[in-house]
Amino acid sequence: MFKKAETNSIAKKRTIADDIRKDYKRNKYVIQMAIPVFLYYLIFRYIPMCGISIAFFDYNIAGGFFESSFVGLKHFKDFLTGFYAARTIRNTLLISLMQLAIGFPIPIIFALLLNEVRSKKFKSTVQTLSYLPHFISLVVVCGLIINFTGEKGIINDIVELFGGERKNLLMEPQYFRWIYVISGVWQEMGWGAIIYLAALAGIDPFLYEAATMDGAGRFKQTLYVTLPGIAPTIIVMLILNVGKMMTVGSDKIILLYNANTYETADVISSFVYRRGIVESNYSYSTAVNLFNSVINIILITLTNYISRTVSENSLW
Amino acid sequence: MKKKIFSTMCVVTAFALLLSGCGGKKNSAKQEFSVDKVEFPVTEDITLKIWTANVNNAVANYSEMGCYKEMTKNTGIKTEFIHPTAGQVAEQFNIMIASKEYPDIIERFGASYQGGYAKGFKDGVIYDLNELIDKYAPNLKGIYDTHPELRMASSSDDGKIYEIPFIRGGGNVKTNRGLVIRKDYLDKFGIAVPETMDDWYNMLTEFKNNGIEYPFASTSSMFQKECFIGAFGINFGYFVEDGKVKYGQYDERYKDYIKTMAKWYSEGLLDSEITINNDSKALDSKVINSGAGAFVASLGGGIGGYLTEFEKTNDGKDLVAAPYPVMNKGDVAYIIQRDNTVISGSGSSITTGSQYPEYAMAFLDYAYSQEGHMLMNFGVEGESYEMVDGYPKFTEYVTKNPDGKSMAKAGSEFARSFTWGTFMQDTRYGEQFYSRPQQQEALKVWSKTVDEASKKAPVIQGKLSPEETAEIATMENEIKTYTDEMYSKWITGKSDVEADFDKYISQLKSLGIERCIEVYQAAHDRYIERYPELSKSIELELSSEFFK
Repeated sequence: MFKKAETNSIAKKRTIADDIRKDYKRNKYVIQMAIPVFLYYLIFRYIPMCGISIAFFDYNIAGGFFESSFVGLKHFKDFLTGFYAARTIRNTLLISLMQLAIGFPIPIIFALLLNEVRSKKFKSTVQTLSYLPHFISLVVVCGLIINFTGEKGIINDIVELFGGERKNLLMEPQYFRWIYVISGVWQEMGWGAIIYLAALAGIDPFLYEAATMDGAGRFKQTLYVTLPGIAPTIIVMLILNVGKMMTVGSDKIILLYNANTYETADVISSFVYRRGIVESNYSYSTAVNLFNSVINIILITLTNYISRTVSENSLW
Repeated sequence: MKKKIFSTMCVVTAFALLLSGCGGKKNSAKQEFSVDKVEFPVTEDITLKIWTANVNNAVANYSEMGCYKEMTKNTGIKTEFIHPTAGQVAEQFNIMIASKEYPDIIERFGASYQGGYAKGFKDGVIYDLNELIDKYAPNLKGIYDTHPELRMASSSDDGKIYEIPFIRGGGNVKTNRGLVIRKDYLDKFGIAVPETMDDWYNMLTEFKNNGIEYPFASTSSMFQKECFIGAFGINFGYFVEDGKVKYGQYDERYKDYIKTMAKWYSEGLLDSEITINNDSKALDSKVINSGAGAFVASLGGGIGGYLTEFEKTNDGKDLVAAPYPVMNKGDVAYIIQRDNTVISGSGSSITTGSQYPEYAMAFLDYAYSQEGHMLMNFGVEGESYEMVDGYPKFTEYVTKNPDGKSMAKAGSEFARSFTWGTFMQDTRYGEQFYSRPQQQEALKVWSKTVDEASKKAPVIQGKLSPEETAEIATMENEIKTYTDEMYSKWITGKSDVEADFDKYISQLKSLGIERCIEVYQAAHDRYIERYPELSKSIELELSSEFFK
């Protein structure tokens, strides 16, 4: 009995090594091709994660890791008990939610509309024009926004035409989020629609024929054939977007906000920029970003779970 | 996923524990030097690497600048400048520090290093220069020995010296900004140059009623700090009054100031973007194209630049400088725009990575010798300046450049006086750079207030220790965000200062303003106690004293 078990385990061991060898022999080239990718992720994505540890230290740039002192959760406490923590978190979430509510469905609607256009020339022209703004540098886009919303800008020209009063819109806190979200939609609408257009192209044309035979009109076809056809794509995009909930990029905020609009515009990343980067307080900014990432992971897991139970579509 | 998070956390914690176990080793600066005396020209082959921003790109590398080429000839020490890309100075600085490949000399070290000079010394990045100055800097030591207060002004809280300073050689290179009014408007409407706040109000109203689009324009930061707040006896941020440190935005008088400015704003006397637009190009356009009535302008690019533009159209546009406004006639304005004699933070530090700290010191000291002084200020004799009856006169290449370059740019091909550096800026440079009568007049008008104000109220002194800086950093940051926000709301009329002010004060209290003031008070007191005769240095005319 005892002897048998021993030989068994030896036999097993041999099998694993054999398996690997066999596998390597069979998939030699695939594995070799995968090595650079694996190394890339290891070196540029996983090893730098160790850098997260500076969130728990008072990082000393001249001394490096070994001369930084361990401070535990001090930086997290600093951020969460700070005077502006509640406001920046609220602003971040509100802007994210607005982006999700407005910026998420619009590319889908746009793709559906574009799909109904018969003229190929018209379709491709509209599509090209719509994703051009995506390639304009953010600084230029913000320059445009500042000009358009300024006291002498085109938006105020229109407002005045209808009897309104001229004012610099970027100085009014109540407009900031709208300006931010709508300009974002303008810039990314066409680009965001590309993935849906690709999904649309993949729907089997026979389904439409069958639907027509059953007496479905254009609208009904969209509702019962097209939408279910791209539903998996929509779900995946939704999950990914929810995963960015706590992240509103600092660049655009910093280019557009000012002391007048802090109360609606100051988000976590812009606050961290002023507090962490400008004053080179790396530990603090790392801590805040780590905090963000943890919440993002929780959100993405949650959405994925809900989606899996409700619709059977999910990321994993 | 849970597993992944868990394992990541494990790795992070393990790493953290590992790191906390190490540390404690400090690479303190060794203070042993290989030679006892540096004599020029040196026989060794030495190239000093110097880190500094290339301010106006007049030359691709400062080592091509006329003054440095000559200095290399005279001292035998070669230079190689490292210029960070504009806009990425902070990042590149940090990479340089983190890689531990320090150049020999770093200019403006304290501004970029987290925690400032004192922390840099503690971390073993830069030298305490006391010993190096005594041994290898005879010229600078001579200046310091005659004026010990200068040495004090460039010393840290505990008597260490981290930088060789940039010194303003006299009055006319210390003030360079102030209030300016369109003289032709004043003549047209029959108004005298305003002195009191009421005069200003009446003048701006008159401008407004006569259809001038921007009665008063300024960039937002200069408007806050340098325009009208002085008339109310306070200053923005920390200031000293009767030996007590105060914070402008946390003062009863601040309410009156805000009330006045909010009134002006609501009546359209101030540019509507005055709280948000800090872009000097926008201001230029308001002055040149939209005919702004009064504004803040610098002596060189401001008054000089605007007048050059005005001359192109040749329709009688002219400028006149106004003194800093006061409440009642005969008062002394409290606010001043004036640099100290020793500009702290603009000098050069020597790093512990330097192989030749003693040569670096001697090289920096050369700028304080007679020859070096002329090179740094006026460039190369025969090229950028000529000696006319013992007076260094800039050549036409600099003053009226054949390629149409501005004086600052043409001059910067030869000398560093047009920007900043590690030397003593000469008043004879100021005399020639500000050559128009309006500029000379402005200098006189502003300097007068400045002199009176400096006598009345000394500037806040003292430097915080690294511990103090770290302690109040968070508080100061939140206070700044809060005060900026309320300031904008009040001025633009989105909120009423009368209703908010008590709440505002108690909010500042809970953000820790009292503690911040306490810290600055302590630093100020330490300084005054150590160097009681400090105010002496304010009126020095150094460049004529040392360099003829």
